[in-house]
Amino acid sequence: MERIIKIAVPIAIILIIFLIYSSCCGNLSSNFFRWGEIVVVISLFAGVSQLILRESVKIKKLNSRSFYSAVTVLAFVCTFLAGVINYRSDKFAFSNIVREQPQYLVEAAHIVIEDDKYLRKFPAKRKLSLLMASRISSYFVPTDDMLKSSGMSQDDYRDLINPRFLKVTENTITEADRDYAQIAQKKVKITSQGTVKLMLPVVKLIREWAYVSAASGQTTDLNINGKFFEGSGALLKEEIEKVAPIGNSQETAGMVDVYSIICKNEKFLDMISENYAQNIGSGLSENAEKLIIASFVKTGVTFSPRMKGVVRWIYRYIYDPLFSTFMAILAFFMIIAAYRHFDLRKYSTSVITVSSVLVMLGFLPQVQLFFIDYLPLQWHGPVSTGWMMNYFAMPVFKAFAIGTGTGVIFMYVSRYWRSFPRGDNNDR
Amino acid sequence: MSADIGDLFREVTTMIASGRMFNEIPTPYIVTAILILILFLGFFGQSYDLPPEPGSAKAAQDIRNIPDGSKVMILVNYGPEGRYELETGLASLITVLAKKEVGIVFASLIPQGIESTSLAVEKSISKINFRKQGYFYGKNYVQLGYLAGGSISAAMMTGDIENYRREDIFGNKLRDLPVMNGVFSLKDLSAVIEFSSVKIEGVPGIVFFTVFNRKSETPSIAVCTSDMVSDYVAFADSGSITSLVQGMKGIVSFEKILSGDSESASRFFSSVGVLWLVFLLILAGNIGKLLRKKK
Repeated sequence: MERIIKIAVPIAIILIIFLIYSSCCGNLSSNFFRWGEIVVVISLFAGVSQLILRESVKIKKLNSRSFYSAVTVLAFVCTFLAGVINYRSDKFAFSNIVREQPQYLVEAAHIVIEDDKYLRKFPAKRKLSLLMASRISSYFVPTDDMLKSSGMSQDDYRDLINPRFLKVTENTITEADRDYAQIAQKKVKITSQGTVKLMLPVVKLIREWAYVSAASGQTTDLNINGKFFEGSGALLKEEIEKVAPIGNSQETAGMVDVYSIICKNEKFLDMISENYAQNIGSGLSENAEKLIIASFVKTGVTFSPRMKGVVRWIYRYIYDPLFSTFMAILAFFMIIAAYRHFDLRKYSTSVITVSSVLVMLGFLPQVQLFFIDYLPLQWHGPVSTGWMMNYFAMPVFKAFAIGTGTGVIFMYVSRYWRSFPRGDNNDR
Repeated sequence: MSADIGDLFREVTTMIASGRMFNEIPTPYIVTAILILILFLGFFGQSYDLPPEPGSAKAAQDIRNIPDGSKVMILVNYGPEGRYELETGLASLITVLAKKEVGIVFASLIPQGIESTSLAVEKSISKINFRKQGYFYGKNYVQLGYLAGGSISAAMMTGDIENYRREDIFGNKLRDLPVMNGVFSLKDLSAVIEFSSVKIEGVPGIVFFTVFNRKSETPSIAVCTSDMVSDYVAFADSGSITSLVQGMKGIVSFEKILSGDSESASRFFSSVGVLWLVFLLILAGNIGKLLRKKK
């Protein structure tokens, strides 16, 4: 019975996964190949489980090596949990949008400034918007158009965001302004991040609606989670007819970016932003929230990497520096090896030394330039790019491969021959 | 405390003045100091003015021949070990392709390639001049993520990309993404480009795509790290790879041809300095051993 269970349970699990992946046996052939991924994951999981078990045993022993095992287990648990929880993914979606669409953040800052009774009287509002945007996200880099509209050069912007140059900017932005701007800055951050979080799934649905309507030629009203936007279908039809006639083929949808057209229509933007304003909870006026939502929809962003925030952080700030350091340290070991072990007196080490020196000489630009400048043309062959590889290394490799292959064949033939009994003696 | 510092200062100056310094300080310390100095020089933007590498010039020409507004695939097959050698080259390429409004389909044959791609894209977008274009996920580029299976994945993708992937790495349907309009198989791409520091199943990853896409004339361009050159050069010579950018020297040349400037040039300067040091140490070590033997 136990044997039957041992066989049946894995088969049942495999069948269930197979059915899930193949959408109840539809498109079986292509899904079959996706099993590669499942096999990789299951193998990895099995291997990691073994590793954790072994390391746990070492930790229990409580000796000098337990510390290393504890670090291994802790690192795995933290990374695994970070991947499962997907913490701070919204923040990374926001950062990506700021990187791709910096005008969205500046626009949001400008709307908040205009909404504020004190800051709206401020003479350098565009400049303040840039300052706020740069402080909200480190990914913010202004475009030339932004700098131009605020009357600044690249150097001026650098001075503005750099605290060391406070004196230069004191004429335009005072300390009191900065403190007051801090409060507004928080509002910009909450509103712009909140808008991304709220509107990203919405704009995705709008995009689907626009493309399906354009491709099918039937412009129905937009429906988002049961809420119908009356008149949106007519607006879309009107906009598409301005640029291209509606066809029933996919090419029409592909040729015309219908979403970018509809999201620039003021009436449509009003319709959408009116419905979602006051859902962000930023403390701004309804009109300001409407404008920020509209500015986000206008960007045309409908997809954003929902990267696993902490996993990305672990990769960038722990794994990458550790691995890069490990690789860089090799240079120091190379130095020690060069001094101590690259010895020309012994045959085996002299082979390695000579080959290493040749490889290094090939990499050094001064050597290459020396040969080009001073060596006669007929001697350029041996020092030209690829000569060593094609005329020296390749024949040796070929000889090596032929030798190995022939040797293996002879070895197996010999073994096969020896496996037969000879004469009356059966001991072979 | 001040007396100690005074004594130390006096001792050091005496050592330098009497020429005892190099006898007193052990050789490894001097060598390490020289090594750090060489690496440090790279930070000051020191570089060489080198003639263009033939492979890099060919690759740059192939990139320029990519029609404006078409689509290409970039395979990012490197992790942290190859990042400092390849990332600037990839960032320059993305900038050039963005100017030509070429859509990019990113994919990786190794898991680390996913984050390497993100880092390179971010590096490109951070360039202020690049910002004028605007660069959006889904419209200008898409990330398919890690293609498990090596040669199998390449075979699947060559026939119909959706046989292998229907969604991008973030769960968006590929058919919904504007960048994937008109891209159904590898034959719809204008070029396949690989940035690599590893081999996949014993051969360069890009070779799978070339082999399975044999009938198509899609150019295949490979950019590999210095340690991978010997593995790639045979495939470049046989024509499996249309053009090959070889190692750091090639990448510096490639960047200079593409964008007129190279961020890797100073790093290349440092690595050449380190190699000279190693070369001199081999010489010094062997001469020293020879002299000791004679005594």
